[in-house]
Amino acid sequence: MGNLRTRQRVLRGLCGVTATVTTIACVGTGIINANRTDIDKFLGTSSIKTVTDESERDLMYTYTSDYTNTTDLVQAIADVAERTQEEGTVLLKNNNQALPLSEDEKGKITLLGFSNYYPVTGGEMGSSVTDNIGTDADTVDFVTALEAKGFSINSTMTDIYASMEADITTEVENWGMTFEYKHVISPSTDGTFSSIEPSLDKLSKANPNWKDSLADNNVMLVMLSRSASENGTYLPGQDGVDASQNLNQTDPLGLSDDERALINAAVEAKNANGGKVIVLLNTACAMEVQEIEDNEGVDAILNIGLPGGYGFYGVCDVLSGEANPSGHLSDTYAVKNENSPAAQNYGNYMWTNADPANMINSALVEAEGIYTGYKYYETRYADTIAGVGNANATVGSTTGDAWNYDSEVTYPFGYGLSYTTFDQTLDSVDVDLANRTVTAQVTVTNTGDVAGKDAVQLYVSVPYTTYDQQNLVEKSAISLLDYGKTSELAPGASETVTITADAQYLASYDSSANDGEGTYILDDGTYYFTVGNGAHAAMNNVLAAQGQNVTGEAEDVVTWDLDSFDQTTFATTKNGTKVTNQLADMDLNQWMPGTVTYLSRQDWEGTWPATYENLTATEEMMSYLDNDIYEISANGDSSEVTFGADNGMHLAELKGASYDDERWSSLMDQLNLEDGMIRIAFGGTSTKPIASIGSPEAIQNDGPNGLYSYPLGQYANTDTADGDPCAISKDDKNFNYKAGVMPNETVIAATFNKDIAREFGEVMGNYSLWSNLTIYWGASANIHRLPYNSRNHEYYSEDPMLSAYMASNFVEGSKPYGLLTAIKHYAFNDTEINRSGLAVFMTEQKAREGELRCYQAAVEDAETLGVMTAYNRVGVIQANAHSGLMVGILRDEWGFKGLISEDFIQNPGYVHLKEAAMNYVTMTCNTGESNMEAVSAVFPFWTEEAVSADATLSAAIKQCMYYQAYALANSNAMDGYAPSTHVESVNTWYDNLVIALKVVFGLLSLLLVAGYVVTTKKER
Amino acid sequence: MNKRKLAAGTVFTALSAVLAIVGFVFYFINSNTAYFSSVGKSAVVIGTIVIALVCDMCYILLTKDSNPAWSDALPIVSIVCLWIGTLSFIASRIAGIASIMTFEMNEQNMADLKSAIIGMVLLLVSAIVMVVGNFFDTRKEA
Repeated sequence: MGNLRTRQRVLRGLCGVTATVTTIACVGTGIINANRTDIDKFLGTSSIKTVTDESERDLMYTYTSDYTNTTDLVQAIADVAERTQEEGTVLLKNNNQALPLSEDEKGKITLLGFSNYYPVTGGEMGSSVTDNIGTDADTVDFVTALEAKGFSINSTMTDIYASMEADITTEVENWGMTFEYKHVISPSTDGTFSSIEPSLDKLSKANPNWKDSLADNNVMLVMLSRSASENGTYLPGQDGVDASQNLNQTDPLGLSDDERALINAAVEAKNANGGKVIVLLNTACAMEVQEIEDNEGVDAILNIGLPGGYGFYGVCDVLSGEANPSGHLSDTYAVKNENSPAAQNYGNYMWTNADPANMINSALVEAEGIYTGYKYYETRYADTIAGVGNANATVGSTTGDAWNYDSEVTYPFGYGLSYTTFDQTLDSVDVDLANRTVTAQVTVTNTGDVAGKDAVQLYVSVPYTTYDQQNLVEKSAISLLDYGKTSELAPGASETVTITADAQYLASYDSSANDGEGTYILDDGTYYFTVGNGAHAAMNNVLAAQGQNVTGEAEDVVTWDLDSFDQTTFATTKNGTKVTNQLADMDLNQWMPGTVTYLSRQDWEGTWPATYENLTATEEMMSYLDNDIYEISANGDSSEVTFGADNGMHLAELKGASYDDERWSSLMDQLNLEDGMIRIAFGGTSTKPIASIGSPEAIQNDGPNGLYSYPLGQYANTDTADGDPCAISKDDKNFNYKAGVMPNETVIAATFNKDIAREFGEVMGNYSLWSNLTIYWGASANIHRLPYNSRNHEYYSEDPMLSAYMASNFVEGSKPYGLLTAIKHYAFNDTEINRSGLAVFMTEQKAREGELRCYQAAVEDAETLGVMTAYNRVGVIQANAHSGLMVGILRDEWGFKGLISEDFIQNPGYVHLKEAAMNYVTMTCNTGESNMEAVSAVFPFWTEEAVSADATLSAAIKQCMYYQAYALANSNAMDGYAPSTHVESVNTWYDNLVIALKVVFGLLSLLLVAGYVVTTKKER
Repeated sequence: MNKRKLAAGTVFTALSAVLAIVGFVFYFINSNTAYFSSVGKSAVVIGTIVIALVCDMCYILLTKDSNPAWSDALPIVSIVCLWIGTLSFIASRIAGIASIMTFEMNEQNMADLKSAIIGMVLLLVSAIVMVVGNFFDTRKEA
């Protein structure tokens, strides 16, 4: 009896175990299918294979790489990265030609500051640098690069910092996980900055004689770092600093006493022993460094940005003179960042009626208007010189006295020094409105004794008229219009650089023009064109030409007069679309009249921005903020929208086809409505195959510092007999290489060299061919509204034109290789604080002349085929749901024809699926099993029955898939496909495992149940 | 004389039920948080957990020498339902958790995530306890 009971228990217990495994396997199948793409990415497996008729194999591959093997590929990437850093390093100060270092001085290096050993090379999150070891192009840190380039480093200090490694490690706790950073970290969106620079006392405790070691190693490099990260921010002023540290730090981007002490210790050592003190700024956020500029003991300052995986080789070359720095600042370095007008509204300003259920959190009013970065400092400076607009009032003054430019700006936008000197002469400027061009000829002569390149910055000062004042149109006193760069000029050599600028960027947006319809205008009056080493030099040239008593080169100014007010030339875009107001609802005053006063140069004091906080959204605003804008309804004649036709076509037949090709209609008629609905709803992290039109799966990838989402080999074709010219074997040395290695965007922008951006696009295009990674969220171009955004490392500049041409050349460089380099984050993701839900308000003039210009050239000129939208709201409407932004401007005015993905919005309530589809967003970002049941479980309103009755929405869904198919047909996603190609599902090892578990444990369960029944009968 | 005593199997079953009930409460709490409310409540999760709890109750109540033969199937049904409910709960939260832990980490979202984690862990432990308890009898000879 007892044995039977025991056997009964064991059988029952085991049955519970086998039932557990069987159930997990069964339920797991659904989970696997819902997340198959990401599981495959993680495991490096593939669940599909393509099959092509043998007769069509020669039709499979369209694009070709410049390289025949991965060794050449990765070394080319390293080469571009190193040259980018050489050209993007900005020499800000070089007293007595302290740099470059002599051969003797290269042997006397002391690295002061822990950042020399643990620098910030990329973002903590977003554009993180990928370490590559054991490849044909291994990444390097600063110390390794110095040693490789023949520098000798003070080992005493190296040992000291090595002994302090534990002290300078920052641990960040998150949900039981500890993340360790050995470099200074960026604060979270509600955190403060903590300095981890070891004090001099700590250095002395580690080795009391450390200062003695500086006697022989008297070339002292002091590195100061500020980190960068997605989902992080620096808060302005004292609020952004960890007060408990008591380090006399008034701003997270300012210096702490420990950093000051380090610099002063270096200066003291220099005074005692001779030598040099060189400060390296390792940051993508403009730091407050006036005190270093003023410190006469500091010989040189180099801004190195975030150098990525190979950039330190470039830094070393600049230090040694192997490379002559030709970088220029992509942002203004202000004395006090928090005194800018934009900083008056930078923080977490919650609605009083916030509603977390609908992701209604905070509002950001960009009351500074168009006066971002240098456009504020230089315009106010011009007005101060002219004595107008209360420009010399005390508001925004760092000293508390009358506002004075010299007290506000340490280094202007566009500023940078060289080891040689150049003379630039603006020979001519031809404004051709009929052809929409401004052509400038600039002769550059190397007047020094070292070879080098020089950036040519073409600026314009447009009239600010009575009309503008009456209609609240603002004008920056100086604006970068376009730029170029010379080749390397030998001493005494000259080169004439021709810049053909786009004249539409002379125009200003006037919301009141055309009886309130809005359009771009050109004021009558004199336009001043000039060149200069930065915006301030250019401004002074213009002021000198205007007869003001400033130090400027009036002869470097060319004027052009427009006789009469023009509101027609740029009233239509390049594709002939009429320009009208599309973003009027971004002005908070449209919803809450009289609430916001925007900064105007009519009265700097009277319009100085207030801080807009504790706002209460009105009922009307809440009706948009609740995320439910489009109502699905039976409308139109759905039968006119054809789905599911049998036309026998395949997307591969349309490889490289133009958007207007008549065959598209036949192909897209084959699409099933269900397929379109599923793909838009579950865009996830790849496009997934669409069998009805033969569309392939294309994998999405981040990032702005290079394709870093997956190793080179993960999706590579490893069948070297397949005929794929870019197939690689599994034992390829670079199989696990990841390309997130470039210097960050501010360094790229600082090169002022479009060819560098283009080359970056080219090597990424080549990389995509080898790695089979097609969709690339790489051209990240949000504007630097303020230095405090710790995600600025992923964006180029405070200037839209510098950003625009870097992004567009990057896109253009990658296109010949079929890489879909997309712009992002469209638009106005200007802060990481509450980025999901944040409502961003500004004038349409600011929107169009500021951030939107960062993207415009990439769409209009480079014809990018990819866009990623933003998390935030545009006014009160989520970006994807904003028809003015997504359709009116992007699709209509600019003529965008490609695919669009949302950013990684996972909250179904905030996805705005139906609104996104109506605005031709081709992929929202949820994932799930590819069937309507799974989709409708997440989005209950998204049923075939409801949508098929809505002819408008059905047509929009079909159009979305058309845009997506067109983009893919013009990409390397179609490599490997021919008209006969079809996709077949294959079982991965984990599929086989799950099947085996189901079968084995299911059978075991049945056997155990049978055994249990028999045993129980016996017992009874 | 036979005397009924609380057996290990009963204790495990009761413990599993209590854990499942608390986990179930956290499921509802989580389903009403700002971040996860839009995911909605799953009929599969609710249905399977309720069935599991009913099975547990019945199994405990039917603990006697002459219990019907079919009652021996109750713990197996309970186990299967607990796993289905738990895994469905986890599956419905995976994307949200990944998003919060990477792109949307802030105080509010982390607070919302907490109830999801607690609920999932409790249900998971409940299922494991039930599996372990299934090796023991629910009646004990004295």
